[in-house]
Amino acid sequence: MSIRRAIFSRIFRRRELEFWFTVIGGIMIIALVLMSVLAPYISPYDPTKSVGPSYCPPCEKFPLGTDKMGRDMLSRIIHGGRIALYIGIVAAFVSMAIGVPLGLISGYAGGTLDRILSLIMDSIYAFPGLVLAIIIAAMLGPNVINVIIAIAIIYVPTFFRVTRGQVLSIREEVYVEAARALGAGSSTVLLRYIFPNVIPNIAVIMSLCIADAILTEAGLTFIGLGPVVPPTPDWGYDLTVGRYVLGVGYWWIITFPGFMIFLAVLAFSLFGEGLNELLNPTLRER
Amino acid sequence: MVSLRVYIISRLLLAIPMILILLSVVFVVLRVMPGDPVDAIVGPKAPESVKEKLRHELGLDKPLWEQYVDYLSGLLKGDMGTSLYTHRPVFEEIMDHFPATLELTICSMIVAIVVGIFTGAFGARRRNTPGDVAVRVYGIMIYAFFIPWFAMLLKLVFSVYLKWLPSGSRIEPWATPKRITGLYLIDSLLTGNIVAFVSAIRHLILPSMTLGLVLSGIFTRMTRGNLIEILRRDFITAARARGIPENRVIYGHALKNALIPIITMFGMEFALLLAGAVLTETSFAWPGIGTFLVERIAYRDYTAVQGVVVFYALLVVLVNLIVDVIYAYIDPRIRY
Repeated sequence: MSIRRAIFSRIFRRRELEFWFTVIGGIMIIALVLMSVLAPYISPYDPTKSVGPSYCPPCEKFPLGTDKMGRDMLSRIIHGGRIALYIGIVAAFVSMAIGVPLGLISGYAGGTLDRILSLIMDSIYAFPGLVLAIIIAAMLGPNVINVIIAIAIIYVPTFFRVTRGQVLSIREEVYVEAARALGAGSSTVLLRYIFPNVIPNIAVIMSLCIADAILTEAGLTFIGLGPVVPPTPDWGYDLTVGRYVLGVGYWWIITFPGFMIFLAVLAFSLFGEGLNELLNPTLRER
Repeated sequence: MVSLRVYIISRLLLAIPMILILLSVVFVVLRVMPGDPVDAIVGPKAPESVKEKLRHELGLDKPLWEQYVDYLSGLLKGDMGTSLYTHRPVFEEIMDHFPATLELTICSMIVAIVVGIFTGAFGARRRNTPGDVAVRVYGIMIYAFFIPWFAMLLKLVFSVYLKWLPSGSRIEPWATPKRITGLYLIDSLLTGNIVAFVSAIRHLILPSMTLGLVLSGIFTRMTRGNLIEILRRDFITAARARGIPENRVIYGHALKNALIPIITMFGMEFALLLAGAVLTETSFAWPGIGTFLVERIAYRDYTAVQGVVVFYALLVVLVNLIVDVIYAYIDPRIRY
């Protein structure tokens, strides 16, 4: 083994890679949330006011340049995640609040109810989520609440499927049988013995769903069904507007908002995937 | 052991409730959920008489169950209604746009599978080396790219700065080949039109790279994971013991087996592919179903939107059906 490889494995293999994924993802999530919460205090300019020349390339005064209206891109970037993160997180929570209980009941009860619910959820799951979100948002009309509803609906099947699958395997565990033998009722078994064991996997799905929801929100905005009304700063909106000046070569207008979407999605993906590997080590050295 | 034919028939029967459910979901979203389609078409401030007339035209003044029956029986007859915007049959319009989407998605899928399998096999072979870490990071990172952003970056580099490739549309308008299948690559070859073929390829590169690379991460991860599992099996040890070169063990013996589970995932991948195609098409002004949907939403062409969504639903069920049958054919264990 070469020295380089030895050093490398000392650093990384001591702690498995998935550990670093989780830690780095977690730090990125905290940083993004802090940035969004503290945005008014840390951004150099008002993101909705014109403070410089139109389309000024990045310079000392405006590190990320300015947009058409002469607004500071850095300030817009700092503020721009507030709506996206809010929608992503709230929508994922709503999906969880619907999908998890349905999954618990369906998996535990079994029978006809389970079959019908599974068929419905599988059908929706197979349908392209963004398209469903597009028509729901188009029918309800674009605003923050409706976009949350549209996004929440498309992720219900994900939570349902994972929860149901977990319940099916936990249901057969000996301790569940013991609880039942001791006279615990269905709801006690479900809530006290099965549900706590499902929670870690729900955390994984939650994180991955937030990542996906941020992409879906940006996608809706790109298509013109976004919740953001100008001049409110938003990564997805700034990116969408930026495409019209792409041909002129104003690269900073699209590069930075898109990069922030990338970072936000990456943060939640890393955290979710890392956590998943730590919880369900499928590929560990045996 | 049930025969393949019985499996296919039972799988076909299972597709019926799935279609019904998806069609009902579409109906619920478009008619039952709050939000009046008539308001969506003419705007909430339009005079009541105009709204009434339109409501009658669309059959929206009938009771809900009657609308549902009308909707389903219309679809059964293959009738998707007439566009409110162009007054052409919706099905015809969809078929005009479908080849573009098909061409884009097939090419993207090829990119995704080729890149995914190679990177995945690369990582699995060099397990726990810097190369493998790079592959694992790639697998997660590439999916985080927002498609329109990725599209814009590629356009910025390859069409604005380098001017190598066109930044949008399907082909130079003057080079459009005679329509046979609607797939420009095939049509131009069939008619021997080399200029059209080159133009179509040049226009295809950036969109299929965008969509293909973003989706490749999933294949990377699946190939890597499956291959690592397979490489632990006894038959691989046996092959190595017989002195077969490592490259042949991996690419000849192991990879073939690692790819079977990937086929099952294709049904779910397909939904991602279609959703991604909507954004890719919009980014590159690619005249496919996605662009059509987005355009008709903007024009509030209610019947066209409904038609597109129904079309997507049928497509999804059909592809899932095909995938399951192929899988059952390849892997006999699935048919009991």
